Amino acid sequence: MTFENLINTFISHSSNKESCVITSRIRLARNLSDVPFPGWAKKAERKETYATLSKALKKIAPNKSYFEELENLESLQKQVLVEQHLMSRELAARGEGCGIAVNKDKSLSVMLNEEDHFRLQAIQPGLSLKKAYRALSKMDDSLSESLNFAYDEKLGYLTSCPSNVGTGMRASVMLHLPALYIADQITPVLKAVSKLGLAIRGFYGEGTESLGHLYQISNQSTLGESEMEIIARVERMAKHVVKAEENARKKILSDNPQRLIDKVGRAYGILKHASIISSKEALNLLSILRLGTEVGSFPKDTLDLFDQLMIQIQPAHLQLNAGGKLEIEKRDEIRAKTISSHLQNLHPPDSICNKNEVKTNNTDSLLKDS
Amino acid sequence: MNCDFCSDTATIFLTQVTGEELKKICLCEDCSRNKELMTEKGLIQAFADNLIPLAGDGNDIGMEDVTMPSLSCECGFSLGDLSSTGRLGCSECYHTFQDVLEGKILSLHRGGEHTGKEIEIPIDKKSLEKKIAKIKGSLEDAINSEDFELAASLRDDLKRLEGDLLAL
Repeated sequence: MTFENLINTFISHSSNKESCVITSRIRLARNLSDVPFPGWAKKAERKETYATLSKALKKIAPNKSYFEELENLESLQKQVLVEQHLMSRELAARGEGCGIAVNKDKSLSVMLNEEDHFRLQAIQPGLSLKKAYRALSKMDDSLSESLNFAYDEKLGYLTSCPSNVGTGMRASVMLHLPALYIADQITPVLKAVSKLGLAIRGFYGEGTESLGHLYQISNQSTLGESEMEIIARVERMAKHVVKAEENARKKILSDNPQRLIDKVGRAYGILKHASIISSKEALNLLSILRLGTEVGSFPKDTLDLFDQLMIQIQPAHLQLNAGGKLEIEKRDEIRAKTISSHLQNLHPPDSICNKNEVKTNNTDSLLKDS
Repeated sequence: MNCDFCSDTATIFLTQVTGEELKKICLCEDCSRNKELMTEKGLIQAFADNLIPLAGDGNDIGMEDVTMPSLSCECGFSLGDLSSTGRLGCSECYHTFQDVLEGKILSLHRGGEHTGKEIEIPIDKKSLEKKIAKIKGSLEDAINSEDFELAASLRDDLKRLEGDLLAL
């Protein structure tokens, strides 16, 4: 699979049961028992370990997977993978002796020699942490047939950072919470989540701010609970937050629908007519359009269009499509043009109603472009 | 582990690492407040951040100086490296720096023992007996709470482990 095919593969969330749950993600950290962790290994040791890791991984990788050593990737390509949540910023800063592997539909990916020797990741649309875990655990079992993972009977899987020891598992759910933001209820909800021992993070994980009203809820503790107990805890909390978001949407629609219609209309107007727009502003406005689709202001198929635009208008994606590095001002111009052109055939938002008919073919045109 | 100031169970463990010198204190929640060492919020934050240097003179609160006989792991990683990076050098570091890590791990997680997915590793007689005793306890609990499905599964585990013990 080529890099281009990989980044143009789009996962639709339009049939997710809970519309505000975007994805469920499981990450497992695994290390070999008899070699230094990647951050402490010397270059030669890291390269030698990489050879062992990639040999074992290639044996079990499904057909048509993407597999690349980082030294073969341009900086912009790495940033695109970060923007697609397939690579961490930490791995993107590395080169020789590190790598990435992704399966055809992007549901499984592996980072080699990141903070740990293996960072295995499974992503599923909607709220499906158990499904993601089952897929990942199977991959973990296959790898452990040919590799000796660092494991201690008392502490479980041993990881480079003690904050991941035990299960080595991070279970996270990406939520879209625009109504809680509009209703000014997001802060108390986020506080409640962190009080219950779960982490709530922004768009790109640890240490990042929320963009497009997207938040990730995940476990902090990895030791003292089984994988299923952690998953149940994260899922329970995600369901509470989803309920709060749904209630906030209902309340806005019953108390002051005009306020929501106005917000969606303004977002539509700016995105369609702006000639310069930053990625932060664009993401936040596209998020409001996404909410508009969910409350019936736009046809249902626009959800995929908005989700794809949220990926395509990020800095590295824009630059890669343009063929090289661009100054911020130029990026903001191209971003505005890209969004505007994809919204050309989209009718202005209607009042809040339910309609399923397909009005535009914007999704197809974006797929062709990307 | 008991509190260094009273006989209560310690729930807060402070460790200061300076170069190759290690200082540690264990406190129960009451003593940590009485000593006004830090606010509760500050303590939690400090642990979440990293292994922290303690404010003030340790002798005032009876801090014990401990010098570890060997402070480097076989991979070359030292306590100083742990203090500056918050990460470890290799899997063996968990055993080398066990004393330092114990408190930190407890402060980061909901428990100190792994209860998740297991890897089959060669097992010695002592740990097998410990495991059997633990399963017997869980089996009794399952029967008392009339969770017969779990009890049946635990009984099968018990039979298997008792067989393994006989085979050793």
